[in-house]
Amino acid sequence: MSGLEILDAGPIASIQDQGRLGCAHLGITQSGAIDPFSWRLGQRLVGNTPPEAALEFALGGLSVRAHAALTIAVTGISATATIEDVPCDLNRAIALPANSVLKVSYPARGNYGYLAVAGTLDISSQFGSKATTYREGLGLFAGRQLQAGDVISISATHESGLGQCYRQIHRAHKNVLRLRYVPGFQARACAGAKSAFENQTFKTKSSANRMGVRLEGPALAMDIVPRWSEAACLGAIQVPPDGQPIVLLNEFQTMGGYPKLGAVLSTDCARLAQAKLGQRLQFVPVTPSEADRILWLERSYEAEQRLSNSAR
Amino acid sequence: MEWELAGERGIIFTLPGSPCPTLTETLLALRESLKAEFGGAITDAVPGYVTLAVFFNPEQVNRDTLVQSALATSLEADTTSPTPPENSLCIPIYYHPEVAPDLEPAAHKLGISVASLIEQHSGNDYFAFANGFAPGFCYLGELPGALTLPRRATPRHQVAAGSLAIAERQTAIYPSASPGGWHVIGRCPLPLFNPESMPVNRVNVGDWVRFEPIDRSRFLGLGGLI
Repeated sequence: MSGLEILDAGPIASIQDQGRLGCAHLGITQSGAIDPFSWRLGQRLVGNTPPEAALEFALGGLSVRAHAALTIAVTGISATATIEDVPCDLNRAIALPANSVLKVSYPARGNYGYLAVAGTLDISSQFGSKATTYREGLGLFAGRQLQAGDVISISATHESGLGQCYRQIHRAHKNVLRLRYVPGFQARACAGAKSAFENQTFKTKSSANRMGVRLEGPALAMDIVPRWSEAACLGAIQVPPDGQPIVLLNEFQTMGGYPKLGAVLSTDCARLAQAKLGQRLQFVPVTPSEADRILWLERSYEAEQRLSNSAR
Repeated sequence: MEWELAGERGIIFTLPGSPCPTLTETLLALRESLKAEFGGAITDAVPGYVTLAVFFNPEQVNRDTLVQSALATSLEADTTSPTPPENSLCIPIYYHPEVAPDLEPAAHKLGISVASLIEQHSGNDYFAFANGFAPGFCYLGELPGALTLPRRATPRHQVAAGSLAIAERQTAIYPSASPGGWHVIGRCPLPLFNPESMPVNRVNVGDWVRFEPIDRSRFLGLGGLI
């Protein structure tokens, strides 16, 4: 058994995995990694099969010490990472020697980073997940966010992935981030607002909030409001009375009364969550069958990615 | 029945009419029917007041098949409205200003005495329309007409865990400390959500609930915090 000690958790750090699926009827939110692609990549790099929970940290500033030697990988962000003040690679399974300290800086790109550890995090699963949900008191330390002094114990450590790397293809910086969404909920009854939503750009007004991202733009006037509370979903675009939309992320409240224009594709929710504060956004409607095809393509793409095992 | 998309893997069905126990029973019957037909391809099904949101795995079931099957489901519910059972789920409540900042102001706004508010609130059976918003939260109705108040103009930043509140024709207990826009008129000493118990929520859709006024010592004895 080994331990990972938190020396500095940065602004917000928690344990995340695929989340709690199928629990919304109990009022339990999905939670889980905000950027599932980066979480899964980390798990593949360190060779955890099936994937295991990881440490998710927002806006960098993370500092951890390994009590015994571990194989780790940092994914999700562009930042400077060091082990004992010597720079180390991101997106590569590397050795974190016993008693050494890993530090990750404030990210140059992205908000959410993932620290994958080869082995099993000794945290009991609740509703099929080890995810921390602060609001619900679920996960390690009854949902509390990680703080300095915490030790996460790790068993079944291994080195099977050591050296594996993934050359992240940085997409060219986009002036406007296009997000695809499936119109639905009250969209048909609010044609004017739907058209305004699609034909204008918005900016992110908040970041690093696992419940959702507030947008800023021309106020949307919804023609109807659902009379009775109804279920929400990941990516739901809800429009409160002030007309400034909020896109719901993993820790959304399972039920609500605000009208909604549809939902951003799950794959684009991760892009939105990783976008910088003030990022300009454009929302593009897709049909449900296009959404199915996009998801299928993304999954095949991920499955076919080759990790290379190059020596440094 | 109408339907709309609820994201890439969800459909939300809406039944005509106003919320009532019969309508909820119909939504629950639809949920059971779809689960029986499609099994694990249905990943979750969440009843609201007049809606059922059905989430599915698009690799296991075709969206159109799901919609057609739901529309074809015979939903002729018993037209006689279900009545409260002999023994509704009983939930103890300490109705007192020391745990309920809005008890006296609410009675004042309603033009009735605090005693009358408590008597009317605890003298009624409530139906559980929906679980959601947060674990353990359950939307209960219908509040007697004489107790109808609009939501607070300014939501409170924080209401205590266990706070019993009213708004419009609804009542509910906040299971954990959270912001809240309803009027707090009492507090429940018992936890509403326990991840280690089965079921995890004390109150579940389709239940009938009655509130029992208790005094301070019983509230404390049951584990209530002031």
